Order: sequence, then structure tokens, then C-alpha cells
Amino acid sequence: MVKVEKITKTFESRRKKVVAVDSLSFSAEPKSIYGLLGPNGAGKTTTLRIISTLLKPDSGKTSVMGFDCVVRPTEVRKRIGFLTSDMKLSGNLTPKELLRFYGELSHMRDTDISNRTKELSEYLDMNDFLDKRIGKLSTGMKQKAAIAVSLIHDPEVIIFDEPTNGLDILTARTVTDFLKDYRDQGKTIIISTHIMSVAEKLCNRVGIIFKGRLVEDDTLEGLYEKFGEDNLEDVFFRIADREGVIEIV
Amino acid sequence: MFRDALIIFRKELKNIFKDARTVFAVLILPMLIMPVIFLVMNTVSTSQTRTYENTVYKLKIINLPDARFLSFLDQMFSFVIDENLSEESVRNQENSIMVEFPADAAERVRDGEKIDARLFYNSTSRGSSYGAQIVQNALSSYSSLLLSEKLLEHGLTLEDLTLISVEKRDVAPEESRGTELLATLIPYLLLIYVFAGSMNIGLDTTAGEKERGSMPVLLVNQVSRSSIAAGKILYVMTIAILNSIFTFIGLMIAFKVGGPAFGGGELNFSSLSATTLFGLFITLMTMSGLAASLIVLLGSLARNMKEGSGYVMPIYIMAIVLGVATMQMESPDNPLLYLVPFINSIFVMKDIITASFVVSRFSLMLASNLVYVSLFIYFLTRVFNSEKIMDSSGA
Repeated sequence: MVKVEKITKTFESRRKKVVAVDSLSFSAEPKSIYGLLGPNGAGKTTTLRIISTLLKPDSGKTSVMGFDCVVRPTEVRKRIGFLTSDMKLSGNLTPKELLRFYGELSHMRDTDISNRTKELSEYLDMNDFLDKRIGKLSTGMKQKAAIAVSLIHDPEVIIFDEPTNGLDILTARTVTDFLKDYRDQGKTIIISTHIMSVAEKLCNRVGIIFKGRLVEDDTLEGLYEKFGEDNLEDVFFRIADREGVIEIV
Repeated sequence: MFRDALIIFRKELKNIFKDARTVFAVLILPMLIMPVIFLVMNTVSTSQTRTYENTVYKLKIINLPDARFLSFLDQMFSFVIDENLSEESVRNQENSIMVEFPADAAERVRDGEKIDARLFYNSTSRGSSYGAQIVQNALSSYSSLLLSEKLLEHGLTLEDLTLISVEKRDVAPEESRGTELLATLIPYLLLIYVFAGSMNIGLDTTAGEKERGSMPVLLVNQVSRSSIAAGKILYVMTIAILNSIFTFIGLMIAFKVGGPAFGGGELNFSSLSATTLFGLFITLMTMSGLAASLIVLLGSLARNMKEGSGYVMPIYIMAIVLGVATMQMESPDNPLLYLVPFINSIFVMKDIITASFVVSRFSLMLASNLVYVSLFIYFLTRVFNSEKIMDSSGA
């Protein structure tokens, strides 16, 4: 389970001060996918990075499986699998070698790494390129390898920032199928996206962010009912209009 | 901590050694480049000399005082007398030289009087310059002949003019003789190659990882930030050491193939005993550790490779300047200098090569370098813990 309680994060530079996340709260349960929706720059990535211990909130509290992300980051890191869409695997190692490396860093036993590698490569259909150099793989293959890397230690919580961004339709389908499967296995999944169809297909619950504030937090059905719409895109535009971000003519 | 650092170190090393081009650039090229440069320079120089020796020069002698001067010239190089030569034609033609004696030169030689000769050559023509040098040598030999004849009239020889004969005796220990050139070149080249070999690798493993977006995945792992720092430094340091060792081997081969023309004949290779090499290796290790930790630290502060290069380049240039500035210097006695990073390693290496090893200097260098490396690891850990530096998603 992931709990986010009133977190605020401000980025300051010499010229300006930007409130990236403003008193944001939500929780994600096991066996569910929580989707953070919002336009670019809304604060989705910052929120996910706070949960992943890469950033510390200025105020508020975040916990993963009961462990505070600021106080006990190592315990949190043991339990999460984190992936960003802008992560580009490269180099001369093969996916197999890379999985072994991250498995060793997670202090897994040799046999466990081998078994988990076998399991993931079959699951993500990676057997054909498991022994090929990362640098020579296609974008889709690299993304599959990156997913496998983030899951090598079988984390309880999976955090994916824009999981289907830039992927072709076939690889995007593999990713969405895998997320559904992992949800059904009882994992807690949090994703961020600005693609409404992805959220509609995957998420049990959706949080809509504008300018760092969580303005709605509900199930898809709950949102449809509340706004009298039958798809997420229309709901999103209604909320954007209400928040003064756009004006519907 | 050390176990995790070793995992990172092993992974980085495996990554680099799987790329044949990188292996060639980091290990093979430094070993080949020096011998190839020396070999080419030696070949070019030898062939140039041979060309000059085989050239038939055009020569004009105005007011030749004595046929014996011609026989000196005959022994030294090939020439044809060209009476049409003038100052103008020497300027315009390759391989032309003109010697002008005064009109009464023959008489003056007969009377044992001093004569002034003028040598015309073109300094912008290598052939003319080479020929002029030969003619000057012939003039000098001819002058000695005339002088000895004059002295003979007074019952003297040329040797009688030397009143003090000097016999030089080198009392330096056998093992340190002929090590000056090695002591000048080796520390300088090792310092340069420590930086040159580790700069790109160090930036790639830090700023490059940030640029590729693979750093966050490493940072959200349970491994401590100090382990990541130590692993990366160890990796860059190993590459720097390997690069320097292969450069060193290349340099030794270069001196051998380069021959005496480049100082190879004067070098005392036997001074490089196992103990000397071990001492050099320890010094090289600490110097590489220092350079690697500095490069990794600067690379971690940068957002991308380009910015990282901007940070590291001034340090690299400073290392070159330091190397050049200390090339001709002897190791000073001031102990404070052995606390100054990089300079301390250069002087200790000079001590080791010239068999003038001083324990206190070596200890100061070793201790201070270890302190610097520890400090850099501490700062690097702080950098890895700094979200402002390691996370570029915000603001």
C-alpha cells in the first residue's frame, strides 16, 4: 500500500519559485492501479519521484508498505520497482547481464536471479534478445528490458512514469497487459499518464492533477457519474474548465 | 558497502571490456602510439639524412686559397663546382652554397695570416643549410690544419694549446646513472595519460548516465549512495591505471625502437628494477585514484556530458601545465610540496626513477593522496544524495 499525505514540493531557482506539488494526498491499494492524470508540468513526475525516494517533500508524508519514504528510504527502495519513460538503456551488456547486475544489487541469490530472469524473459517475451547487446536492441525491446530490470527483485509496489510514452502499439500493449497482470497478482501499481485511453483501460482509481493540486480522486465510474459523462476525456475537460485551465465553448 | 561497490565496479568493467573499440582505444592504442610515433620520426629523420648525404651540392668557391680545402670538402660530401652561382642564385636554388675568400687569400695563407671567409647559403632551404654546415665543418678542419702548421714552425702542436686536461668521473650510483631522461618523461606522461585515459570514461559513467536517464534506476535501488560513489571511482581509477601502464610499456618500447636518435641509447633501463616498478605502481595508483575521484565528482555535478567536459577540461589542462612545469625540476626538499596533489606524485616518481627514494616524501604523498580521495568520496556521496544535482526532473 502507498499513502501520500499532504505533500508539498517547491523548486526554487534564482529567478522563480515553482510549486510543483501542492498539499497532495491519495492512497493506492494492493491489487489496484492508481493513475495520476494531468497535463505536462502538472506535478505527476515529481509526485512519483517523491514516492520513489528520489526527491524529498518540503512537507507532508509518504509511505510505502508502512515505511516512511524520508525516514527509511532503503526499506522503501527494497519494495518498489521504478521506471521512467525517459530511461534509455544503453551499453554493451545484454539484458541478461543487466538483470543479473540489478539482482545482485538487490542482494538476491544467484539461483533466484536466474529463476526470476527466466520468468521475466518468458513473461515479457524477451527470449529472442536476452543475450543481445542492449545497444543493438530496438526501442520496444529496450523498454521491455527496462521493465524487467525494474521488476527483477519482485517488488510489491510498481511505479511507472508514463509507461507507454513513445512506444509502438505492440510494445504498448505488452506493457498494459503486464500491468493488468501484476495488478491481478496483488501488486500495488501507480502510473502517471496524460493519455486518457491508457488510464481508462488500466486504472481502478484516478487522481487528476492541475498545477500541483489533486483536484479529483475517484474511481472511473465515480467520475463518470459525478460529471455526467461517459468517457474520461470529457470528464478531464470538464474539470479543466472548472479549474480555469481551459474554457469550453 | 564494499560488496555493493564491487558489484558496480564489475558491471562497469564488463561493459567496457565487451566493446572491442574501447579496449583498443584504452589499452592497445596507448601501447602502440608511442612506438609508432618514435618509429616514424626515426625513419623520417634517417631517410632525410640519407637524402642529404646522397645529394650532389652546387658549390662555388671564390678565391680558393689552397687545394687542400677542396680535399677536405671531397671527404665530407658530394659536390660539383658551379662557377655561375651568385648570391641571387643561392637564394633561388636548392642545395647551393657559395664560399668567398678575400682576393689575397692564397698569399695570406702562405704568410700564415688570418683570413676572413664568407659563406652564402639559404636558411629556408634545408638542403642549402645542411650543405652550409658541411662546408663550415670543412672550413674548421682547414683552419685547424693551417693552425697546426703555424704552430709546428714554433715547435708546437695543437695539443700544446690545451694546458689543463680534464677527466670527469661520475660518482652517482650505478643504478641512477642515465635515468635523467626517464625521470623527466615518465612522471609527465603518466600524469597526462591518467587524465586522458579516465576523462571520457569518468564522464560517461556519471553525466552520461544522467543524460541517458539510467541514473534514477540505480539510485532507487537499495544500494547505498556511498557504494555507488566508491564503485564508480574504483572503475574509473582502474581504467586510468591500465591506460597509464600500457602507455608506460609503449614508451619503453618506443625508446628501444627509437634508438639513440631520441635518447634511447642514453637511457638506463636497468634502473627500472622490480622494486622501482612496484614503487611507481603504488604512486600511480594513488594518483589515478585522485584523478578518478575528481573526474567522477565533477561529472556527477554536470547535467550532461558536454557540461561535464567543460568542468573537467580546465583540470586536464592544469595537469598538462603542471607536468611541463615540473619536467626539468629536481624533487625539492620542502615537505609541504609533498602535500600538494599531483605535484607530490610527480616528485616521488622522479625520486623512485633516479634511485633517490625518500621514505618521508613517499609517506607524505601516500597519506595526503589517500586523504584527498576520502574527501572526494565523501563529497561525491553528498552529491549522490543531493536531489538538486541528481534529479533533473524538477524546476
